[in-house]
Amino acid sequence: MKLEDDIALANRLAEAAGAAIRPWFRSGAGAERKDDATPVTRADRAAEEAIRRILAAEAPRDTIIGEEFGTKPGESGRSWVIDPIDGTAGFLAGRPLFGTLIALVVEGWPVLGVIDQPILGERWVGASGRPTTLNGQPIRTRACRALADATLATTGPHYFDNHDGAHFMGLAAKTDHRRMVMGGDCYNYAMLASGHLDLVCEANLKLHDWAALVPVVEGAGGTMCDWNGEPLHAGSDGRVLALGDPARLDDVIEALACGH
Amino acid sequence: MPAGNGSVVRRRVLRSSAGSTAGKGLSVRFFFYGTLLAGADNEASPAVHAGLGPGRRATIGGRLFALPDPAGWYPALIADPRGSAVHGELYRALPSFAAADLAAMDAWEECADDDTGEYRRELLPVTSEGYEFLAQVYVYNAALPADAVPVPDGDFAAFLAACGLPAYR
Repeated sequence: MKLEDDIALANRLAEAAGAAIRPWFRSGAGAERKDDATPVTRADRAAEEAIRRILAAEAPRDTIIGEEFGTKPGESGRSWVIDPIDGTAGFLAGRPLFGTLIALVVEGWPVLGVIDQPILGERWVGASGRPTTLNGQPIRTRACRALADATLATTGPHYFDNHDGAHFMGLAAKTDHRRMVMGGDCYNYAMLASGHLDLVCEANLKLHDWAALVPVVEGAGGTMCDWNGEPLHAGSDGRVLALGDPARLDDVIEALACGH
Repeated sequence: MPAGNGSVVRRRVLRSSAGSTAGKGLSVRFFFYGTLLAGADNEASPAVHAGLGPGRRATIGGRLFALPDPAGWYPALIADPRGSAVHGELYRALPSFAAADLAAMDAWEECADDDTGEYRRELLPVTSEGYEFLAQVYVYNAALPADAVPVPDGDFAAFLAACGLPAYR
């Protein structure tokens, strides 16, 4: 079955990326700005190059869309969407809360997603129509009986403009805001999939930021959509929601709409 | 979004009368198993496929029947997740796909917005290469006629070829 082959390939991609990234983590020059010489840029590029080498050999007809090296067109209708280090600020701060994101998009839909944390040795694998796994073991999101009980996460306030920030704060006020967490990038979605938090709300995400997250979250029983509750697609505006308990979706959309 | 492992499916109601919501900018997919397959010899298929990408072999759970008509035989799908595999192809709408294309498709299938037609269009899970996709599917919406013939292996074109029957056109 093609799905099994793709999962095996995605695992090899994640392993190669992790091997390229680990030597640069906490390597001592994290205070530099992100330019061609910094560890995070070197790690980013080394990881994406490692992934591209494998794809060129094993999936030469597939499109590759990478954060660092752009798009290599293919002819199979299948696209690998790569973000070698999602969470560069966390990487630079020495926090193992970044991840390598690998998605396979087929007919416009992310059917396979990997969130790999190469320092902690954690890998979430999601594929549409089957349960998400963490290091091979099935995981589930947790139930959330009321929005007031929800633990909300977002990477940082600087990702919101004033308008979006007001809507976000409208949502935050309706959740259990004493437990709200900041930072984390893709790791928040992994924690949501594993049932440790309930809600992630972000803006300004690109396709390579969210494509891998959708199969992971939805295969664990959660749901992802834009701020209007519509499914994400290549033309989405970057405003992204993830819910561990899809039953809270209407409450979340209403709370977001109230913020102003 | 795929139902996956129990997540809620928010069914997008795709109306041919709803203007630009038909396909532009959205990842709308279709699953065809009969007269709308690419290459089918009838007036609808070539026009429909001008707005769709290449096909990908796929299956849906259900039961398939062949119905006779003076213009040829056509298939009727009763969708059932626990049914056997019905074979067809999955297509993605291109950006050029417009509401008029969907309206033409619905007209060919005698599918009405108020679900009173011979077929109704539903958003259903379809499997291709092991992955699950949500796709627009025309399912039979009328009482099956007495002369409906079961298609045991779920492949309409193969059934017609094996029986030497003409396809509807």
